[in-house]
Order: sequence, then structure tokens, then C-alpha cells
Amino acid sequence: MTQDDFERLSAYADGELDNPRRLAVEADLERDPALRATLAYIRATQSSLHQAYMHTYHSDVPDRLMAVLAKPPAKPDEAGSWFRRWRLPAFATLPATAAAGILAGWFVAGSLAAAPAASLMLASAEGLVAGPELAQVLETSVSGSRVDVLGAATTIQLSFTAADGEACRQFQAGQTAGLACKQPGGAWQIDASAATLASVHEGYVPAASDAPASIQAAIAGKGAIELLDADGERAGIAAGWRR
Amino acid sequence: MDDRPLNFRAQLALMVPKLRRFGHALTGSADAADDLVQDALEKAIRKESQFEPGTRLDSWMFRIMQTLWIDDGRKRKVRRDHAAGLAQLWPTNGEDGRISFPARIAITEVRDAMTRLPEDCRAVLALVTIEGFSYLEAADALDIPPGTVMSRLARARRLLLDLIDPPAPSGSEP
Repeated sequence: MTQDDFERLSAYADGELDNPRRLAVEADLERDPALRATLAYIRATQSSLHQAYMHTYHSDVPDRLMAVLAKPPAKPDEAGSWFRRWRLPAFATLPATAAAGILAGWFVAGSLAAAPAASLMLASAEGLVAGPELAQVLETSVSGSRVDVLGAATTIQLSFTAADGEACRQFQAGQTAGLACKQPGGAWQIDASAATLASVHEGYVPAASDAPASIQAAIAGKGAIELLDADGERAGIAAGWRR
Repeated sequence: MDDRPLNFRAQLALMVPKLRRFGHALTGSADAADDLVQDALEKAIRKESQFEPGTRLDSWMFRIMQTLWIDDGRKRKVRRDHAAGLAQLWPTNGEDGRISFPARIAITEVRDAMTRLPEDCRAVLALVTIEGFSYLEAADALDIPPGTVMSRLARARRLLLDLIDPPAPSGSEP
């Protein structure tokens, strides 16, 4: 196989060929088993690469990375002092990812920069939880409906119960994707959240399956989940999502 | 108009895992990746005014990381630490056991092969196959022509196939 052939096949695997060239590759694939084998290998490598790098980076985030982001912009010399002063004792016991989420929550809450006092997510003793406006939507909306939360077009994408009976809902609020699970105390704990490129627009809702790896990993971490259909969601809403 | 409830730093905070992943693919070492991410975050905060709202922040960060990585001389050190770093980084404890793969390629084999690729190949491969960037997006992030993305990617894949399975069908078929 020439370098050109291989390049074409590689671009084909990525869906990067224009129509005429794509059709030409497909015709070649039809009659050449070696080409098909190479394509299968490219795809297998791709999938393995993706999986190999998917789950590793959301845990054990070093504090120093978050400290960079918490540094006050005006006084770059006092590295980290602000961060330490404001670090609540409870955070010391949280995994670094949760700390990262909480930091993000602080930013959202406007602790560091001028921002509206209301926020999607809030830091609490239990970690990052949905703010009241988002919680309201998590509590009462069915999947697919589009509502406004603090100016961000928001939708529920998926609802399920985890193996232990915990109710969870995957949502997209503006460009933030997240997974929230209802706690016995009533709060919607944010198990994962991430900034995304996609956002909810008129007539367009990003697919749940397009969620960032961190969200998918959090869902995978829930074990054998049971997806809820529309009836299941209505029952959950009626019961306040209690186990 | 602006429907992003997150400010610049919050967006960076949420992006940290992604940056670490790219850093790892680029440097081949988790420790070097975290150093690189830290430097890139510091640079990003200093240069925030240069970021154009409405463009991709992740692309901007990847470009900063790539530039920092090329500019400074830590490559040599990392190469030395490489083997040790890999061992602690990627425990083969079956964390991915539940995920099914379309073929028999072991993840450990792919990870190992990835670290043996030339650096320019790694960056392109990481953006397109791991982050799901299009060729145009990858070209923009790495500041190279789209044609170069295509040829580098093909070269990376060909090397990968050879590394993973020397008599792979990418060789001299009739």
C-alpha cells in the first residue's frame, strides 16, 4: 500500500473525505480484503487509544493546578495564600476532583470575579450541589423540555436510577454538561460537570451520548443503571425522586 | 447572547482533566503533563486578554501547551523518566474491563506504542482520535496546514500499526 493510499484510508476512517473520494475508497474496500483489514485495524487502534486515555485524568488532580486558577489576578506574587485562607477544612477530605468542582462552583458563584450572585452550582458541606434554580428543573422537568436557568438554556437529557436506588439526571445548562444525583437530604449533588462546546439552542439539544468523558465515566461509575422512560420520569417527579 | 454561565477561570478549571490527558499524550509522562498544564494555566491567565471570546478555549490551551512543550527543554528529562512514569501511571487493574473493543488490541499495547511515536505525531493523534477534533480544528489548534494534519495522522497510524503488530496489513501487501 502506498503512503497516499494509506492517507486516504486514514482520512476515510475519520470521515474527512469529500463525497467523490469517499465513494472511491468504498469501492476499493469492496474489492480489496487487505484494505478492509487495514481499515479494521485503524478503527480498532483508534477505539483503543480513545479508551486508553479516557478515564485517567479526572482523579488525583494535583492541588497546585487548581491553586493556579484560584490565585487572585491582581496580586500574582502572593501565590496560593488566598487559596489556602479560603480553603474550608472539610475540603481536605474531599477527592481532588470534587475540590476542582467546588472551585469551579466558587467561580460560578462569583467569589473571584464579578458574576451574578445566583449560580447553577453551589459549594456545600456535601460537595458541589445544584443551586436552587437548577435543582427546581432537576426536580420537575421531563427529559427533552427546554427551560431557562439563570439565562442558560437548559435541558434534562437522561434520567436513571443507580444500582443502589439513587435517582440521577444528566443535564446540559448552556455550555455546561453535568450529572446530578438526588441525595437523601434532598440536595442534587453534582457528581460530574464539564464545559462543552455544544449548547442547547432552539430546536437543538445535544445528545446525552455526546457528553464529555468525565460525565460518561461518572455514569459508568454508577454500576448497573436502569434508564427511566417518560412514565418512569413522571413517577420520579411525583415522588420527589426519593428512593 | 452569552449563554455561558462560567467565567474564564471556571472554564479552565473544568477543562483541567482534558488538558492533563492531552499533556500526557504529548509528553508521555503524567508528571511532565501536570507540569506542562500548570505552566499553560499560568500563561493562559497572564494572556487572558489575548483569548478571543467565541473561539475554542480548548484549542487555545492545546496550542499554548504545544508551544510551551516545544520551547522548553524538558523533553530530555522526560525521556529518562519515561519508563518509571509509565509503570505507576497505568495500572493494569482492569479498570476498563466493562468496555468492549471491536478488536483484540490491548490497551496497554496501544499506550506503550503511543509513547514511542515522534512528538509531532502524538499531538495530532491525540487531538483527532482522543479529543475528536476535525482535521481543520486540529490544524487550527496546532497552527499547521490541514494537509499536514492528514499526512501526520497517516504516518502516526502507520507507525502505530507497525509497533502494535509488526506484520500488520499496512506492510507490503500484493
